[in-house]
Amino acid sequence: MTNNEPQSDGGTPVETDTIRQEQPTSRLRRLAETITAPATVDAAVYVLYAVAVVFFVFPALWVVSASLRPEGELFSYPFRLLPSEISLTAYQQVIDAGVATWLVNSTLVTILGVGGILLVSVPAAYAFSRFEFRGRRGLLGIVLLFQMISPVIIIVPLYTVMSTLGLLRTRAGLVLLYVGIQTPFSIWLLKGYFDTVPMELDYAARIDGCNRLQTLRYVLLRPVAPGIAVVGIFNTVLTWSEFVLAFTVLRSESRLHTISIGVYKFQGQYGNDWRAIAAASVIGMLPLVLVFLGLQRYFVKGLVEGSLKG
Amino acid sequence: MTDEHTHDFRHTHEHRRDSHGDTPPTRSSGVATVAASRRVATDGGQPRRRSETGVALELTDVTKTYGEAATAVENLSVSLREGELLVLVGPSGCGKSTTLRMIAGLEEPTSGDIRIDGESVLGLEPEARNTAMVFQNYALYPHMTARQNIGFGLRMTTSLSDEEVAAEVESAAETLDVTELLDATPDSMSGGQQQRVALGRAIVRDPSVFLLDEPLSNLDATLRARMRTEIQQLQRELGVTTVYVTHDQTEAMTMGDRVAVLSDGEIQQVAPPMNCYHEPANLFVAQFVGEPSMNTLAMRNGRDSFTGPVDYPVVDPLADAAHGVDRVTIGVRPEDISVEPEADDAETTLPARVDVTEPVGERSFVHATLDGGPSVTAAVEGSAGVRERDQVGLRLPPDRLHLFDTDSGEAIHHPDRESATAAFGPV
Repeated sequence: MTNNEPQSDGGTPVETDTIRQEQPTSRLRRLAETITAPATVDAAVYVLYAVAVVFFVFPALWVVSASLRPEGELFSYPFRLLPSEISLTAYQQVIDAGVATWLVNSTLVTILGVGGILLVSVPAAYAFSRFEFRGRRGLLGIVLLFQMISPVIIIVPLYTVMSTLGLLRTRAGLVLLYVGIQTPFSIWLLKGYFDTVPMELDYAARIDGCNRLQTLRYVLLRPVAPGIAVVGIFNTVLTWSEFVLAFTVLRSESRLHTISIGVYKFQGQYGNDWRAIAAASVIGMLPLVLVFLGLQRYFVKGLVEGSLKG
Repeated sequence: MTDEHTHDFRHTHEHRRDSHGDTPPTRSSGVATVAASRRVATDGGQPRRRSETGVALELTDVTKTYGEAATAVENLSVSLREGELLVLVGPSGCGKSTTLRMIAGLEEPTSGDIRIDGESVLGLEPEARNTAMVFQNYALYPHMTARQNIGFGLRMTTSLSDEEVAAEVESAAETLDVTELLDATPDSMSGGQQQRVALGRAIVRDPSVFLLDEPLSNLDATLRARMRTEIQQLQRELGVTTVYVTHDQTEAMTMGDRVAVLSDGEIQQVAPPMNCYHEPANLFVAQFVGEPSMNTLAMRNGRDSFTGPVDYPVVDPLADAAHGVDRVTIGVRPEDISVEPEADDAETTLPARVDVTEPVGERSFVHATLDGGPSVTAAVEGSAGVRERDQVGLRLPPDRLHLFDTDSGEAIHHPDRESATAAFGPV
């Protein structure tokens, strides 16, 4: 029944995706068509799409445009979206300031952080989904509770703890924080995916000679792969662009600074170098955009499945 | 209970226990056994003598409770001879799947003992018990091809080379006729095909005990009937001791050497299917086995007649059996009731009014309400010959009645089997 649904990441995902996505749309459409003519509905839907796209993409486009303007044109009047001429001096300035180091640092922190989050949350979600143990529900509740606490609220005690442990100004400290803060949410999300995989798969694996970890590794990991992709991408985005914790933990240790701290550096006491900020932001955005473009198939699929079954 | 039973089909293959005897159970001897068994199977097989005790699987007082309140299985004891097929049947929630999982080692019993080939397997990991299981939803690994699915257990538990695993898989696939499917993944297979692959995954491991958990429930009716026969044939050819769990009484009646009827975690009766039908141990079995189920009338034992919503004379052979039992329940199979066009004066014929008639082909069911309240169902040959709202007489032949002690539910009298109307089978 459900046993071949969560796993179809290899076979014919495109087909299932379209079917799943069309359902609500077509229902909405049918409802709308009972009121107005189909052509009108079509046009209205596209106008709506256009508005949404402009709304979300405009800030990004403005940043790109700002980064390419010659000095002094940023606040020119009348407002213009396209620069009068392309200038790369802002990019030169950002490169000179050490953007390469920031990118390397961000990459390292993100890989280690997301890797750590997955390393903890996948087995934890498996355990919460599959094992009956004393205090299971209570623990799940506590995990949920932690998820609700914003790290900013506890940043002062966090700082003290990190200081006591000697983890200030270290990459390890920052990675540990990311893992600690993002793991609860990831466990909950992944548990939903594990719950959709029929228990009989575990039984079959155990009869076939797998221990618990082998069951996870060889049998369950693939069916929950879309969930792992969602958790991975989601945490990549969060970790990559995270500023407050990075700034708090890394402090003045500039050789460890990440891209978000790098962007911040162009804010001055007496004025902001908007062109440099924009250029650094563009450079900071690019890796994520590329990653997302590469993986969006899994991301969308994972989200759709999660929303339907999780 | 009665469980004397002869096996006329015992083509037991190469003695499976050989590999557990003098030589340590190395995998290579296991392979030889598998290969040999398949050869025997395809050659038609030589009848072979069973091992001395002949008991392949034994459950003793097995109890499983969850927490303090819920008891899934209670004091269940049953033993299977080598090569026997036992069907565990009962309504959902009666503990049959739990029992199967305990045999497989997926759950541990709270108390009691489980022995496979004479040795207790309590505490052993599932793989060490040498059982194989087939699930209702097949539980094929979704990301693996049929070939990988079938070979997975061998890869995990043995040190067979890739070639050896491949050969085993091919051989199992041939037995189940799924060779063309070997490179397909489960999501591209039909339910029946998935079921075959799941069976392949089970037989490739050359198990001591074969555990089937409602394997046909997800198939459509036609396919189910065909797979029923095929599983039976496969089981007999391989001669593997098998526990087959189902809630479908057709499967229970037709497939098993013996049937164990379960209710509320307790065994009600273990007997060959026909015994369960003709000589049900208690009211539960009587009503669970047989379709439509046995009619029952709760009565009080008067001196000359059973009284209740209707009266029925205490005649031979009922008088002796019912002696001393105050509250009795009369049980009568639908096919033992005959429908008379009009009520005659005989005391064994009860006046009734027809509610519904159901023609089902070679016979018809007549659902009627007795004057006095209770509804009964009669099965008659051909068309019913009566119509709705007709007043009829239902003849309950005294020599075809079962008697039960209403308070305990236990059977106190069964009719002679010889007097059964030959025209009707039980199912």
